[in-house]
Amino acid sequence: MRKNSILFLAGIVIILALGFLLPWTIRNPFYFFVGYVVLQYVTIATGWNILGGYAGYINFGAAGFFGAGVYLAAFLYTTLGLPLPLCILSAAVLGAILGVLMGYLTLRIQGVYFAIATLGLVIVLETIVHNISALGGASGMAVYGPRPPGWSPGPSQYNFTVMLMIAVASVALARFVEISWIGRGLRAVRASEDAAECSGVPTLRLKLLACALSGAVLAAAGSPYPFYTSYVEPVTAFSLIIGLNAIAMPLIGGTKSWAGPVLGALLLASVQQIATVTISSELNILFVGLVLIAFVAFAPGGLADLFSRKQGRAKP
Amino acid sequence: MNDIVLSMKAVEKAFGAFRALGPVDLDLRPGERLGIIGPNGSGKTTLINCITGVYRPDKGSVHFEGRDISHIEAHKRARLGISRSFQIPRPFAGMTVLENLLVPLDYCHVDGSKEERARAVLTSVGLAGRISHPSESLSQLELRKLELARALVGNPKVLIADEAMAGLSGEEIDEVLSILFALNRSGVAVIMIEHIMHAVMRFSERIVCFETGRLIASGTSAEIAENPLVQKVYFGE
Amino acid sequence: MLSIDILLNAVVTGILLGSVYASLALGLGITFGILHIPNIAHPTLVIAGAFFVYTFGQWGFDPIFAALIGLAPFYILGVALYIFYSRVFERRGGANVLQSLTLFFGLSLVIEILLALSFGSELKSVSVSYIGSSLKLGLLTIPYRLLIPALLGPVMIAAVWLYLSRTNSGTAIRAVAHEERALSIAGLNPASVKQHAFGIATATAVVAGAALIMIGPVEPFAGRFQIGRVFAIVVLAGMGSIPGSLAIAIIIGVAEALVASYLNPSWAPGVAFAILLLGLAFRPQGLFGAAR
Repeated sequence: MRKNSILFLAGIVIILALGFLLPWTIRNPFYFFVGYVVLQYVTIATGWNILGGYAGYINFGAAGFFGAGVYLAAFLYTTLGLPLPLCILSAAVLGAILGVLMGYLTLRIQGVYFAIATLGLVIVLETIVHNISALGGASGMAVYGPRPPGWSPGPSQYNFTVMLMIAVASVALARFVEISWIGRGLRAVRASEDAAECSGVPTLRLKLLACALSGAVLAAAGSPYPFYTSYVEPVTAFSLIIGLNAIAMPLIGGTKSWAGPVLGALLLASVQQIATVTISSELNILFVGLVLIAFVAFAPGGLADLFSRKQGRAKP
Repeated sequence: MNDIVLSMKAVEKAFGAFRALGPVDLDLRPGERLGIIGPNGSGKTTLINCITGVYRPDKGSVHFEGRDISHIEAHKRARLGISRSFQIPRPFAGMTVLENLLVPLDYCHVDGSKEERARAVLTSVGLAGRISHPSESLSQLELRKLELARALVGNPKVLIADEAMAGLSGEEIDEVLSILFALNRSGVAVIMIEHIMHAVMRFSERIVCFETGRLIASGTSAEIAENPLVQKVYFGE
Repeated sequence: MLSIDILLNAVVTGILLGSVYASLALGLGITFGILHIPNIAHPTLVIAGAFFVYTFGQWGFDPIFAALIGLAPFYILGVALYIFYSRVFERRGGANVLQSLTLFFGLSLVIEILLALSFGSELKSVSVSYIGSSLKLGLLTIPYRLLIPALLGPVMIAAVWLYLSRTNSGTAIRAVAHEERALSIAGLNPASVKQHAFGIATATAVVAGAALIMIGPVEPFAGRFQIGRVFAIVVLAGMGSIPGSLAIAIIIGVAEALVASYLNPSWAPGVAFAILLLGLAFRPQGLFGAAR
């Protein structure tokens, strides 16, 4: 256990170091432009999995949390001039509040109602944004992001490194949840809510905590987005593909451990980034939808489970 | 100092127009072995759910060690020392046998290492060889034992064993009974809900019989066996 | 300022809209309300029904007649969906609610995309002679394009309700979720009862789709704006209560129409979800159902 944590920490240090050094060695900013999206999905999948994977509560409204983060960061930056780290932090806090609110309204009953309610979250938030002129309404608003600081060669590279830090922090949070008493309690909730409650687990409080953490990560994933695109509009901030990928990536990678969503996001987001050059976004959604169905139907444990089964078979 | 550990006063519970339970008065002494019998749908499960906090009674109150617990949540009652096993075992799938016991230990205080405590309890119920196995891989008897081990790992004062022996063979029943007897000798009061008559008769110091949500008879095993009301419930006229 | 004709028209429009919402929710009332299968793809199936009706409209068929033609293929589609669903999950010993939700989520996206790829993403509508004009009754103005679909709803709901409550196979459907063993003893195969129920539920989608496309143009992704409404209706009616669902649907329709008239039409999509969330928070067992 402790040895694994040291390895994990070493991994984080190496990845962060690469995040600061690579922009100076790889000259083409396009790689960082694409890499940003992959890291964004690593964060989204990781955040979704804290609630969906560990506790087994499906959130169809990841795009709602993401979009809330996008808009709050854009608003705070353009109107109040808040520095970027504070924008990210505020987005995370808003995500946590939204998560607790959704959870409090629906989690006392069965999980299916939570899932249905999250379907509505996106529509409700999108409706609200449409009706607020300070956020640009349906036509959106332009955001002129911060100038990259001295340690980063350009805006694409800067956004990439910021997103990398968010992704790393999210994965570290997910891993902490997973190996701590929180994760154990959530897994117990997932297996049997009644048995968990009768074993002393405060199931409602634990689920609300998972909602808050998951919502915070999902909203944080959206917070640098306005600076990445320089323009936010409801259609992209609350995009369908975000909600779909948030579910598909952990399910494909495996929901039991933090590595599953990371693996699923790296795979699926890379494929999508390569594919968008050649196929339409509709075919992209069709592809992810079919992959999602295939995994739910035939490999519910995801790739992680397929690998470990193969290993298990090889051992004896 | 107190000769009643758990006490139910005029407890009632209804679902819509259907009165599932009550009004029921029932006391449990510390270290007592109480059997609860009655046909399916007679209110036994509703009674347990009112004690453990899955349901809030519509009327009446539940007291534990002199304190009114009618309105506190189930997990808090579990931490106070009211523990239960489920009729259909509900292992925490995806966890090892040991981890299953670490879940309740996360929320209670034990002297010394939690893992040591878990290992000791698993050894005492005969699951020592299965400690690091996934809980899904256990046999029916082992699942029953895990269910009991998880219920008693946090040192409860009252254990409710809900049909802990259903579907087991004669020898296996003896094994579960001996676990419960051993637990009881350490001072834990045990409420046994059971359809297997010879087991509940052998185990209990006192038996109560439920029928359509009401307590219709109470007494020793011998008294219950002779009770005409009980005979009517079980054998008809 | 609360002029009586605006109020009256809003209420009547709301009642008519509600009647259409009830027909949208009918299929979900069967799959989710009775069978407890969380078929979140149902609104998308309704949209697929609307496109079916649109296609036949292009060939000169009347929308209602096209919907009647569609009953059989949609019934078969529903049976096929159920077979796929049960094959996937029954192998694993029973359906996990969350996995089935995900499955239907994936299915609905695939159906939407297939519709978009074959029909394009633009709005599609049907044109029939009788839906252009309006019925004027004193202060009231009721467009026929709303009145006729609104009358279609109660007819279909009544038919399904009579079927479920008066016939043996309907009773079997109502019983199958709770009394699977009793059905087996009575010589009925629970799996085929469920298949049949899923088929009927999906067949109602084509009629609901006809109603929807008569009211106004439809695009492939329109289903997601109905999800809140249909689940609000089924859940708040008390799972499986069909007369209750008509009442809830009308409440939602009237609430939306009032919000649209007095606040702003762009707020209306959120109304059903707000009602659903409040309902779940304060009365999870539904307004008409008994506590479980």
